[in-house]
This record gives sequence, C-alpha cells and structure tokens, in this order.
Amino acid sequence: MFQAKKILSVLATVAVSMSLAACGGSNSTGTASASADKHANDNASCTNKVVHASAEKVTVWAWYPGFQKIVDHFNQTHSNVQVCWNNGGQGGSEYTRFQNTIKAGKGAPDVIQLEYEAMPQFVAGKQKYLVDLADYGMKAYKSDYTAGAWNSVTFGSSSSIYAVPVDAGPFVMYVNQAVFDKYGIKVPTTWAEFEQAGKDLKAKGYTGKLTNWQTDGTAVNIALFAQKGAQVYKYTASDPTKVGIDFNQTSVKQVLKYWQNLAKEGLIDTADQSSTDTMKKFGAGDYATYVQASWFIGYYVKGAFKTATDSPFKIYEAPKWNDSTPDVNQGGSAFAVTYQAKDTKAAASVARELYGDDYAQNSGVTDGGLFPTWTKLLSSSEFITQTYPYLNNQKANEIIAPVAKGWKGDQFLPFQTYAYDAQQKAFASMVKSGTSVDSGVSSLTSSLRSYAEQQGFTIESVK
Amino acid sequence: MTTIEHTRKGTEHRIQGNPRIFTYVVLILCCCYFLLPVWWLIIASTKTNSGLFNGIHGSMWFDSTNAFWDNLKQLGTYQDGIYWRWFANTLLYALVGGFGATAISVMAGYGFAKYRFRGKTLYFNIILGALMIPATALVIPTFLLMSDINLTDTYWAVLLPVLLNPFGVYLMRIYCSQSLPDEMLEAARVDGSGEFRTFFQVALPIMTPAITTVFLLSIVGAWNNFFLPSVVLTNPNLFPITVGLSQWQARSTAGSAAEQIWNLLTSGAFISVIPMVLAFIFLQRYWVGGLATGSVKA
Repeated sequence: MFQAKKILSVLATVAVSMSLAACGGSNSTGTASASADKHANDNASCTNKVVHASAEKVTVWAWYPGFQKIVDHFNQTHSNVQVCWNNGGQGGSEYTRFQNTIKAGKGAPDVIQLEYEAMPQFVAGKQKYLVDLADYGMKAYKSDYTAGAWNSVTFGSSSSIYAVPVDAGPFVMYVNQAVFDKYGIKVPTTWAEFEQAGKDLKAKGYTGKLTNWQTDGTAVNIALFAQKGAQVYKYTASDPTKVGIDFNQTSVKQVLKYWQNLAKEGLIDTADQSSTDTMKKFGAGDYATYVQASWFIGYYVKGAFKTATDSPFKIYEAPKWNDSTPDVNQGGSAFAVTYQAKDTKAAASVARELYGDDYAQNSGVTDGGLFPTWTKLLSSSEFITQTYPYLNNQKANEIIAPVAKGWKGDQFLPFQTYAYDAQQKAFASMVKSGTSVDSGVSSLTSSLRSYAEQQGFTIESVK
Repeated sequence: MTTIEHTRKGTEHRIQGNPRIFTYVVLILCCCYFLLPVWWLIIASTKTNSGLFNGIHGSMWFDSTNAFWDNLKQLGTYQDGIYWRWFANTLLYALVGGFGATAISVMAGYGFAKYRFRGKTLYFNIILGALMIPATALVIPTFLLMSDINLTDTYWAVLLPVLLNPFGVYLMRIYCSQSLPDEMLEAARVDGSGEFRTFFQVALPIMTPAITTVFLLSIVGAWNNFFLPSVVLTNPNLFPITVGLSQWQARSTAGSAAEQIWNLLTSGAFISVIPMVLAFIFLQRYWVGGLATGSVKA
C-alpha cells in the first residue's frame, strides 16, 4: 500500500510538472528580442541540398509550388547565408504545427510562410510570435510592393511590418467562352447583367449552372463583400486588443440576398469549395462562369482539362455593382520571421531576399503560378504580355495586373479560422434551409462578438 | 386453433429456412460495403490525372487508357522518388514498431498473468486506464515531451510511442491466464527449466495465436499511423506514406497554382495497401492454425 501511494504521488508530481511546463510554454510571450546565434542551425535537416556547407543556415517553412528552385537559386547566389527549407504543411496544418512549436517553446523555423489572413493570430494581444521587420530596415522597401499587399502585412499600422509579401489573388471572373458563344449571350460586366445572363442561359436551354457560390468559401466571400465596400472584420496592429466584427451592414445583406436569390431561382450551384466534385463539373462545362482569385487557373483549370486546348475558359474582370466598385483580392501569402529565429537579422534578410530578385519573381510566376505583388514585375511588359495556354493564349495579366494594383488590402481576425467556420454555417443555412439574411447576419455578428470577448478582446466598430 | 397452429408452423418453417439466406445477404452486403472502396482505388490507380475527373466510364470503371505503369514511373521520379523513401520508412516503422510492441506486450502480459509482485493490480489498472484514453489525445503532450528531449524530427519520435501498446498487454494477460495452465509452468520449473527457458520454450509456443493477433494489430496500427508522425515530423525524408500522401493531397488542393498529382495519390495509396493485404493473407494462417491447436488440446 505504501508502495502504491508512493507511485501515485510520483505520478501526481509528474502530471503537475507537465501541466506547469505546458503553461510555461503557452505563457512565454514571444519576445521580439533579437537573437544572433549563427551556428544553432548547423545540424538542421533540410529538404534541399545546401550549396555552401560552411555558411550559416536559416530554416524556412514554405509550401509554394516550385519552391525548390527558389531555394537553390538563393543558395547559389548567397555564400554567407544558406536556406534550409522544409514543407511544414499547407495552410492550416502548418499553422497548427507552428502553434505546437510555440507551446513547446522550440522547433519553429526562422522564417515561415503565412497567408495574410493567418498572420493576426500570431501577433494578437500581448503575444508576438512574429518579429517586427521594421527593426530590420524593411520600411525602405515599401514601394517594392503593391498597396494591398503592404497593408496586409502591416495590419493598418504605419510603424510595424510583420512579413514580406510574396503573392496575392486578384479577384477576376473565369468565363466558359464556349457556353456564352453557343447561346449567343454577352459576357456580363455588372452583377445585374450577371443575374440576367444566368436567366438567359437557362431560358435558352443551358443545363449547367451560371456559377458556384461557395458558402464555405473563406476569403472569396470577404472579397465579395469588399466589392460592395463592406469591411466585416477589423484588426489593426496599432491596437491589437481590439477587434471589429460586423456582418449586420446593409451592403453585406445586399450581397447575401443577391446570392440567396440566385440560389432560390436555381441559377447557381452551392457546392463546397475545393471539392473534386466541383472540379469535375468545371471540366464538364457545367459552370458558365467562376468568380475567383487569379490563382484559380493553376488549381482547377489545369486539373480539369486534359490539354490546354481543351479549356474553353478566359478571364474577364469580375462583375461590378457600379462604377465605384473597388478592385478586391482573395488570398495570398508572405514570409514572416518567427520569434524563435536563431539569428533574427539573417532571418529577416532571407525573408526579404527569397523572392527579392528578378529570377525568383519570374520563377514564382512560371513555375509556381504565383501572382506577384512586386510592383517591378507587375509593370514589366513581358509580364503583361505573357500568354496563358489554358486560357486560349489570352494575355490575361492585362486584366489581372490592374486589379492587383488597385487592391487596398483586407483585415482579418486573430481567430480567423473560428470566424470562417461560423461564417460558413450562417451562409450555408441561408441557401440550404432558407434562413433569412437579416436574422442570419445579426446572429452571426453577435455570436462572433461574444466569442471575441471570451477571448479577451474589446469590440470596436469596423468603420 | 387451426389458424394458430398454421401460423406456428409457418414461423417454424421460417426459422429453419431463413438464417442461411439472411447470413448470405448480410455477408454479401458487407463484402460490397468493404470492397467497393478497394475496387475504386484499384480503378483509380490506373488513371491519369484528367482521367480521374473526366474518365469516359465514370469513376467505377477503367478509363480508355491504362496509365498504371506511367503512374508507377512518375512515383519513382516525382520529387526525386521520395515516395519509395516514404515506403521504406513506413516499412521500418511498421516492422520495428510491430515487433517491438509485440515483444513488450507478450512479456508484460506474461508477467502480469504469471507472476505475483507488489503493485501488480495498480500497474495493471494504469494500463487499463491507458486503454481508455484515445491515442489521439496524447499526441500533443507526446510532441511536447519529444520536443523537450530533442527527439522531434527523428525516427524515434514515431517509434517510441508505437512500442507501447496497452491493448496488446491486456490481450496477452487475458490469453496467458486462460490458456496457459500454471501447472504446466510449475512442471517445467520442477524439471529444472529456468524462468527464461520456461518463457521461451514452454509459454511462447502456446501463446502463438495471441502473439500473431497482437503482432497483426500492432503492425496495422503502425502502418496506418498518421496523426502522431504528422505532428512530430517536419522533415519529409522521415515521413511514412500516410503523412507524405496527405501532403501531396494538400498540394493538389492548394490555392496558388497547385500541382495536380491526384494520379500519384491514387496509385501511391494503392501500392501502400498491398503489403497490408499480404500480411493478412500470410499471417492469417498462423492465427487460425494456432486457434485450432488450442481447441484440440482443450
């Protein structure tokens, strides 16, 4: 019995010390204090082969397609510092992994790829898990990037810069030209014409759908609201304890009612995003249009058709509400430096220089299919006149580049994943079980606000 | 009365005649339920990327072209053939993990069943308690522990947790205490056999069916292990197939200019199930054989 008690007490001690350790991990607020250990990464394991073995290594997590080439190019052109790259997972799975390493207090890379919408969660409140690059001379490079991308990495702050922008997703419309030609219908330029085109196509016997509205679409719905001038989320680095959440706006309701009505009339599909089923329909010509980010070409268009010439799609400007409808964006990502960086200064230079030259930018476009935020490339004539085989050799950048330049940036919450889930449920019930838009947006707003308060944020107006 | 007798006769007749048909129907339904996904996987592994989406015969039948060998070739070259590295890793995790977990379970179970020592009930209750906690819930604490002792991103991070299989220990204890008579071990001891010799030459042969069962379960568990390696590993050279394929899947559904490698996913998944099918076919013999031996002796 004595023995058993002893064991129990040992177990209890272990459990307590473990939970204390866990607390210690999550409480350790990321300090932005710089480290300068040049040899901490000497034994790091990398997916790529390091060119200059004796040089200092900086570890990077990124999932960009074709990233190997960028890493090799960087390592060949830099002899004093080398990139040690691993794919830490894509999007959400990488963020979870990063959170785990924050809990553990070690194991995070020096430089990490983050989507714009994922950054606030790592700089929220008192925790700062990303290094402010303004301390490393990043301000001098402001004019290298589009306004929207710059605003996305600074969160409306004029003094802090939390990442180096790489790509963006200017919002455009993919049009199945064969369908519109067959039924002799003009490609719509406004949302009113868009609805009419759907009715006309249906009346003339087109069996497919006008488009697919993804109720689980995350950034795509934020872009649709932004087109109407509505900002639903607000979060700025200058006051990181406050968040703004407001779906209860006339413009948001107008957008949602528009789509709810299209669904009610049977003009559109409401399938989930990124499903193989939608991809199949896309390839089979069951969608006349698709309003999406420019990166969509790499995602669906290339996958849905056997050869480039099979694709009937072309890019047009996204439909507008009126002449003052702004250019909007969906997605995009950047390189941030983590608070665990072994040599913060070297990490900051790697973050900026990885995509910081012509070769890397061009490779990003041709091998990675990234849409650049680098103003130099956006304005180059080779880029503007580049033809896309999967878009009938269209010079699509003539349409996309102005959208990229016109975008002003969006704001996202420090608990964006949670907000997206709530948003998705609310929108899905509007089209699938006929919940009224008015009650849907007001309950969505109040539930998100109370969640924010539980998390310790103060609610502010989104204006 | 006659009507009642009539119905009674009717029910008697049904009870006699129906069980077999009923069994067959259930079994056939089960077969379809379990085999249809496998059939889909076989079909899908022979298709090209666009064939998967636009194949002329739909998803449950072959496309006009058979791309299985092309897919196999592409698997060998994509990202410098890392798929086969994953395959080798999975094999390592499954075999080392499977053997290790079985050895530990057998010894621990035997110890619990046949020896008396202080705190036996407590230890066994702890193991029973461990059975109740889903392994998934332990992954993050495991990661934090591994991180503390700098074992993340090593083979050990996956192997060590796999070695401990509370269910195996439990099963071995139950099996030992029920089908391994104490008298037999005592007889061995009286004849001058040491504890080790008793364990290896007297106990082990009788335990074969249970050992095979635990071995199969451990190996399948280690082969399909996904969540733990996905959390503790970042270096793709250490990935098992499960984590590697899920990364490829993420790559195919990614936003910015994803690479479409669905064909590699389907063919890679198909190849990864073959060793498990073989393991079951071959180990099943020992399993059934062992059970039969036991029944004759009893």
